[in-house]
Amino acid sequence: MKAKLESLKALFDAEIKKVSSPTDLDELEIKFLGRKAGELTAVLRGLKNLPEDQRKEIGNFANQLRGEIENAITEIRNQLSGSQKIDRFFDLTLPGTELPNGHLHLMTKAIREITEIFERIGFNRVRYPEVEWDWYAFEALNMPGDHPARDEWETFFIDDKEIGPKGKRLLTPHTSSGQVREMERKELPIRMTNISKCYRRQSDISHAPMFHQFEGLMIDTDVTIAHLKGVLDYFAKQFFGPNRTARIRPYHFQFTEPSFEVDISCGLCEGKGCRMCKSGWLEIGGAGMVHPNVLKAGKIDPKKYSGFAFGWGVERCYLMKPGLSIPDIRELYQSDLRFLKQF
Amino acid sequence: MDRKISYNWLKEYVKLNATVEEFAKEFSLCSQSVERVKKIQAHFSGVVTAKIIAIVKHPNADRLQLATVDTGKEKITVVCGAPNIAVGQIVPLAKVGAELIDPKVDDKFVLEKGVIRGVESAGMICAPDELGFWPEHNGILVLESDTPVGKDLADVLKLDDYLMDIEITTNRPDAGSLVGLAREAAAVFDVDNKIDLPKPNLKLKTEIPLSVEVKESKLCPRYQAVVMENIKVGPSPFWLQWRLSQAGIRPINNLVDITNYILLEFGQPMHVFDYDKLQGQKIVVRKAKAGEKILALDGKNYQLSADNLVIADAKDPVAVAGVMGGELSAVSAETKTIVFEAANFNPVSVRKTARALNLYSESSSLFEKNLSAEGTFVAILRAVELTQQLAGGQTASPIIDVYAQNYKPKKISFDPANIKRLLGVEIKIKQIKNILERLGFEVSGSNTLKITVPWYRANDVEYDHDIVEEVARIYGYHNLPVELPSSEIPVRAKNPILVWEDKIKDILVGAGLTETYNYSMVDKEMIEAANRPKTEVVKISNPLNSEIEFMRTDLEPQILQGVADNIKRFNQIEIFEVSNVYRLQKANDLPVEQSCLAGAVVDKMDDFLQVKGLVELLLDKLAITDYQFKELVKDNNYCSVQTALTVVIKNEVIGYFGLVNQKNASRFSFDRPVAIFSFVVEKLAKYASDLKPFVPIAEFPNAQRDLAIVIDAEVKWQMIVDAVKSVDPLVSEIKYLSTYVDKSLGEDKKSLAFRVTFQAERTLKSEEVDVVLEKIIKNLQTKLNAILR
Repeated sequence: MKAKLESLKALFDAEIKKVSSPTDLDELEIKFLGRKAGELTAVLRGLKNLPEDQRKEIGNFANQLRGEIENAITEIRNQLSGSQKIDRFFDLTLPGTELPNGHLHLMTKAIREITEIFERIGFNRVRYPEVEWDWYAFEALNMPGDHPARDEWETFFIDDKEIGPKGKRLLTPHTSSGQVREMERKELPIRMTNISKCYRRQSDISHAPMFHQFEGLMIDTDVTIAHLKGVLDYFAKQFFGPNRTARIRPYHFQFTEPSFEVDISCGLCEGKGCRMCKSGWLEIGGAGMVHPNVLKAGKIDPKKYSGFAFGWGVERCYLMKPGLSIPDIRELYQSDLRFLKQF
Repeated sequence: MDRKISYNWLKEYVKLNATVEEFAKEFSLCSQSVERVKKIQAHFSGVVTAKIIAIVKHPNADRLQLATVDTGKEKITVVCGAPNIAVGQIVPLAKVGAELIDPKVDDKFVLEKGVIRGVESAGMICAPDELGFWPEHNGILVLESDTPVGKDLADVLKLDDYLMDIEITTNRPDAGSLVGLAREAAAVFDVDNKIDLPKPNLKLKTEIPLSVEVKESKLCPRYQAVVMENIKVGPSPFWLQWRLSQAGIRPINNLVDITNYILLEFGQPMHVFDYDKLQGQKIVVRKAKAGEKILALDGKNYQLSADNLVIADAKDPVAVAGVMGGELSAVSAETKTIVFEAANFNPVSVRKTARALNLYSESSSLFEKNLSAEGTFVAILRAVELTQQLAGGQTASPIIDVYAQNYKPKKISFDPANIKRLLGVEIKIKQIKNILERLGFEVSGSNTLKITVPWYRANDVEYDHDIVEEVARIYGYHNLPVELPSSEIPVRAKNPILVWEDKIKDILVGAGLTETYNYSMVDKEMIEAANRPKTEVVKISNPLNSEIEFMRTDLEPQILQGVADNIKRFNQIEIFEVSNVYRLQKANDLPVEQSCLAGAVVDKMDDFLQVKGLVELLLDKLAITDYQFKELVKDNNYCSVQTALTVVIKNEVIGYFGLVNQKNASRFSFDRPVAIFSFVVEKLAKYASDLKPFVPIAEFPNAQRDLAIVIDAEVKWQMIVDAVKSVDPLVSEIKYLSTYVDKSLGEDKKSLAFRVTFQAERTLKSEEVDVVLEKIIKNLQTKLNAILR
């Protein structure tokens, strides 16, 4: 009996070497281990007829052989199956299959990021006209007809002279024109962000005649400069990174009082001062406490309510992020796929 | 406005111990912003002071002279071409080896020994520009007569300084001067200032008549004038010229320089007339008469109108009030008697006149920011004082003062509770008072404060908020707490257009498209390409250039331009934009701003099917199901009926897509088919949904059969769908696989392959599917003359 098992083993060892496909292997498995006619199965089945003294020894030997055969079959099966198949011509260096790869515009990314940051503290994004009345862009913002401060806005006008009670039509030069629009909705308190295209008569590598601004406006009872500082600092950390801070310095706008310039601490030197910044700070935009005259223009009682507003250029602010030093800002508005597909 | 301020000069008016960097930092946090600090030092070397002791003519050149100069150690002879040299002058002498500035290239050069027309020159007497001082080359720099000789010029002139670039906000013209900045600095650093009232000699020996008549007291609230005689016009001393040139003002002569110096020092514009050129010993402040003209100091003639305020003599305008003086009454080298003007003009009037004439000056820029009428007094005293010091002369008239009304100091009553309300912190009354007093306010009272505003702040400090600002900035905004608002967050619905714009962008980017942004403003050609009625087009009245003259009425033209710009470089172009378009509906109203989506697809093949698939994907992702593709009623501006479809929901057209028509293909020079699509975001938003309803998954397995049929080429896919689907309710789906065209199929024939799916509420038997399949084949044969392949 033992001799039979040994010859079976020799036979298996010889045959497994000839196996070249899963079918061959299946056949081999059936030949030796098949439930009905497997040669080893037959031996194992015959064990019970052996004398007691041989049964144990032969049994152990036969079971051991079965284990060996099973292992050998599993090993070869793994080698033959797809994942383990060894193909010396397999080229790992071929490029992956090209899948659709679209690109959002940088400004969409910037606007989304800003919107989300402010949404988390309850500021709702709104949209107001880009072609706007003089009244909303200037007059209601405490800049009457001949105010010299208007010159700073380099405005595109639609009309040469006033055409109605709200004056001329113009392309809004700033998102602040949305302030009184928002107040006119008569839904207080207000926490809004207005992100919009704005237009100014200037075009050079750092100015495009169309650009984006964003504006934050909060009006409530007891809104303070401390709150403005809180919101600006929150933005600095969310947008630029947890180590950054914001600060405000005195400035002047007609529609806020007091008015501020907003600086963000420089990310390169962390406030020490370097060639990229002005003694550790980067100028980013303007802010202030809403001027009582503006609240009045929006039919809000300045004795009861106070508020702050802030705003700045989306392009300028986004391109301050690392790796985005784009030499000519106008590139954003040319449909050059060599540029757009980078982002 | 930006001011260039010398730190040393500023320190003459205020006791500052801070370094310039400390000053710039602290001052920017509490007052006006110091944008830059530049170290000032001599750009030359090897230049010494020397005295001219003899001058002889150059033997070989009429226009050159040989000057012998004494440095105290040696006497050397140099060749000099300057017309203004004279024996006794103390001058800057550059010796061989000195480093000087070549003004032509604005760079340094080293002086070498030269032989000029046969005479050796051992050095050079320098002009201001050769020392890098100011752009003057007509003569040498003559130093003051008490300048020590033989010293290093840089040491003698004490050039080492810092020049600060300070941005003065428009509401603070009072701070745009040395004295104004000194007041601010004194408050910021809590130190004393040293602003002295000028003390000129006002005694009259002789009186020269001058009458001043102000006809427009609203436009000229105050006019002060004084006559001075026995004036010696000449160059100003070095220190004055140097200060002007550092501030960016070119030195002219001592009198003009004095008026400019006072502008820098006190922020009050002044003017000086040659008395002898004024007709009728008279100054009249009036509106210009129609037809009057003036030759201004810039050398140009200006046609005046009745809107322009002028300073006139008995006959003609001699200055545009507050803007610029006239050439004909200007001070010249021969002038002996002068009139100084220190006046105050209405800001709006000055602004309108400057604009109308397109004539701007430092003076107009200050007046239009609303100066206090109180400021003329100190300025005219200073002018007399400086003239007596620098140009000789005596006052020959009293100081004439035509002042429309007596100045009453502005008073504000202020509730200190406003501080807490706006700042978020309490500041003690004592500190509030202290800060305001440092700024020149007078404060009394203990609960409600009675505050008197200093005259130089009367035009910008009006009420509570302004007082809060003053206190807060000196207290330091950086010292205020940083706090997120803790009040209730208002609940507002999101603007659905903004929400869907974002979703649409994500879907299209997910499908491999690239988002573009184009200018809202376009040129005439793009407006023509959009082909809208002229009445809908918004035109900009003051465009920057003709490329951005109109507001776009449609997105398509720029999308097509975007394709044109890229088509030579890319085989595949897939772009889109989501933006507003602007269309007038009423002539005198704002245009309607509508958010639109447009895009284009260029591929190697099947552009139409690509764009159709894209549209189907978009609609599916937006959960819009009940739409139909319908033929265009007629050709639209970009597509023709044969190769485009509209997307219709409940009889409303929400968009279209198709191949770009021939007209636009040639307009944009396309060498390949281009497909476009266009939707109105509002209409997509109307039908779009975030929710897709759940449909139970089929309980029983379906059965599928593939068919390939040969049919006439003109048979449309939809006809096959109809012919298959109508056969039996077991047909649940029919899926297009491919089209195959070959001559072997026969003339005008094509082969179509598709897959039919059968589904029922039970397990289908193979035989029953085959029965239905037979019916389908039969129906296709009967209806469409199809042959099974």
